[in-house]
Amino acid sequence: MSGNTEALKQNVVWRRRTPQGDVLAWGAWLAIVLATVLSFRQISNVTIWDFVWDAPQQGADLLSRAVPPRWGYASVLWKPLWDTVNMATMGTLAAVILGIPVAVLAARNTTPSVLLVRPLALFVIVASRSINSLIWALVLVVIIGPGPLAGTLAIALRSVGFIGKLLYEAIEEIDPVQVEATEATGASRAQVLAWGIMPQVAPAIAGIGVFRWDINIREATVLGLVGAGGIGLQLEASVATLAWPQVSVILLLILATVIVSEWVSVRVRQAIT
Amino acid sequence: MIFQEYALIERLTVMENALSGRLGYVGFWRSWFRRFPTTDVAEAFTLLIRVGLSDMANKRADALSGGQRQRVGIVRALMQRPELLLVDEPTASLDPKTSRQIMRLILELCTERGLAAIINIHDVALARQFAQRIVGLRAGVIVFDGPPNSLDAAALTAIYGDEDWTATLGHGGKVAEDEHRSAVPEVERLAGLA
Amino acid sequence: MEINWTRAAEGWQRGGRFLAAFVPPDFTSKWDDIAEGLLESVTMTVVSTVLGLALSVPVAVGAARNLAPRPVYLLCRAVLVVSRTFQEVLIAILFVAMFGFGPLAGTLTLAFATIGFVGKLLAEDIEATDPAQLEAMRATGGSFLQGLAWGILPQVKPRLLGLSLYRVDINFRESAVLGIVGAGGIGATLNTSLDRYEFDTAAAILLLIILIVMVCEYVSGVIRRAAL
Repeated sequence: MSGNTEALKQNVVWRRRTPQGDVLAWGAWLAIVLATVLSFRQISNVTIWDFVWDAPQQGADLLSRAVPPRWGYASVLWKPLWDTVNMATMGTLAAVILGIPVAVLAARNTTPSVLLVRPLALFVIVASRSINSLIWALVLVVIIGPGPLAGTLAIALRSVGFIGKLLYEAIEEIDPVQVEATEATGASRAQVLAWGIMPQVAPAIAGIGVFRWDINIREATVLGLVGAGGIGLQLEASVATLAWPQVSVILLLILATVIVSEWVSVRVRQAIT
Repeated sequence: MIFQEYALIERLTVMENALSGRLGYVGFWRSWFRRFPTTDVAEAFTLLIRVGLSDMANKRADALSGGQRQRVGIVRALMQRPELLLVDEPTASLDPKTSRQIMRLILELCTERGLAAIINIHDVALARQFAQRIVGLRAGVIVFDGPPNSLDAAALTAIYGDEDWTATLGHGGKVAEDEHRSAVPEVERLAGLA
Repeated sequence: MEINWTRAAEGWQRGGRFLAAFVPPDFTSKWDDIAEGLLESVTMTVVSTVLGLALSVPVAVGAARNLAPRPVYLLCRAVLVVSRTFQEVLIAILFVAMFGFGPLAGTLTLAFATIGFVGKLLAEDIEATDPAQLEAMRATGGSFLQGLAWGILPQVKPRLLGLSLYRVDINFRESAVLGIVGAGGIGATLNTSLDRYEFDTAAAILLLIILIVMVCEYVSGVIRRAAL
């Protein structure tokens, strides 16, 4: 035993990774550091640093002007706030209705064609997810004019991809035995969908819808900035006129709304699962 | 300290688990970059050879069987160069054969190193087979203290409560496996190897 | 919600004409502006993700009930709630007011949003770790930091990696919006092109955003499979 130990002491090498692994790991870290430094220099070049060093004072100044909030202003905010909630709700509803067929077409086990239809459905999902609802709103305001309809559609367009993605993943994970059992009764394609698949993913649809609704409340608060209705319109106006006491009222109101909607969303999802 | 259910870092390798026994003696950054002193690495290798895991050094702990995992646990404990080994139900999730192998390994290592071990165990047969001294506790009070062969049905009743102990104390290894856990939860038995 | 349906109906016709103006996408005539905007979005994504992750790890540790003392826990949870409640654009408006126009305000906004997102999900993962592993590391005499690095980190590493890659994605997508309020990135270019009725350029930008997000998702899938 002791001889063995001595031999080992002369020549002990233990490394967490192989030499190649070491090079790869250090290389990856180096690349990240390098990318960060270069990117930061790029940003720094177009930044006026005097303004940045000034930021604490600016922040303090902002805060001192925002406090106390002008509570009286809240009376004109109820209507836009209600619009905001409605845009989120209607947009989510529309997205669920549109998202279900997209998900069915995208799921490997329900799509009519893996080669043709599935990639198309997946592209719709990626395209919808890639574009923020605010950008959808920006485009829609140009096309159909300002107002809550543009906002609702923007919410719907952004949410279709989100709902479609989560739902098609849920459909791909269903129990195939129930589907086979339905098929064995001689049911048509549509009947299999309605009897073998939908009952299994119904809780998922509800859960995903409520989850997205909660996110959409947040998103809807800013759509007014580009003219698509909701409380963002008042925010835009208040910021433009430097009416900071109004801004603080709006932000507090948004905070309260979002906390309530998150609470509702969590409770509903708990009740479903 | 040797743990019930091993308490290994499942996603790290056997060697990293062994070296983790030296954490208290190595600075944070050395441990972060896995730059342990060569003497520590040598000791870990020696111990892994001793417990029969030398070719497992770079396997992840979660790829090992229960008996192998507990061997890694033993190596980790010995890496701390302890003066006293605390062992908490080392065989709680092992089959009878592996349990005996692990207990024998602990006994051998303790003898080699002149080490004392305090083992907390509910398997009466294992305790009688490997321990040199048995201390029985009931609700925190010592109710038995003596050599293994003086542990009789009366002593077991004093520790665990009334039960038919004949099979447990039978000649040789016929142990009913479901006997291990006592009906009274606060009862603890201690077997000391000195 | 008041919707003027006659106006909407007229809108659809008008919309058809507008929609037609989006095709074919024009990549060339404003390419310099597009490239500059995209580069700015990418740099914002890189810096904000790295900065946000560096900050969100300690916040997540502080917001994990099994590690942090009560006051630290409450403080970190409060940071997470504030960060998650406000839409990025709202934070950007305030940061632009504080730090001035440009990508730095946008970068800080995204970093702040990253803290809320990664911090909350990572804290939940830390709370779900097996306590025996941390206990074993502390029993070997390891310090608190060694306990984190050995007893916790190996358990949450896959989740941390997954969240980081996902956040790269989100930060790029969000960087495309912040330009609307003057916080830098491709959003400013997009906004300008829409203001000038250059819809074919806008369509090109939208397609490029979709393309980059697709590439991002593909690459992060590859990294995830290689690392786990």
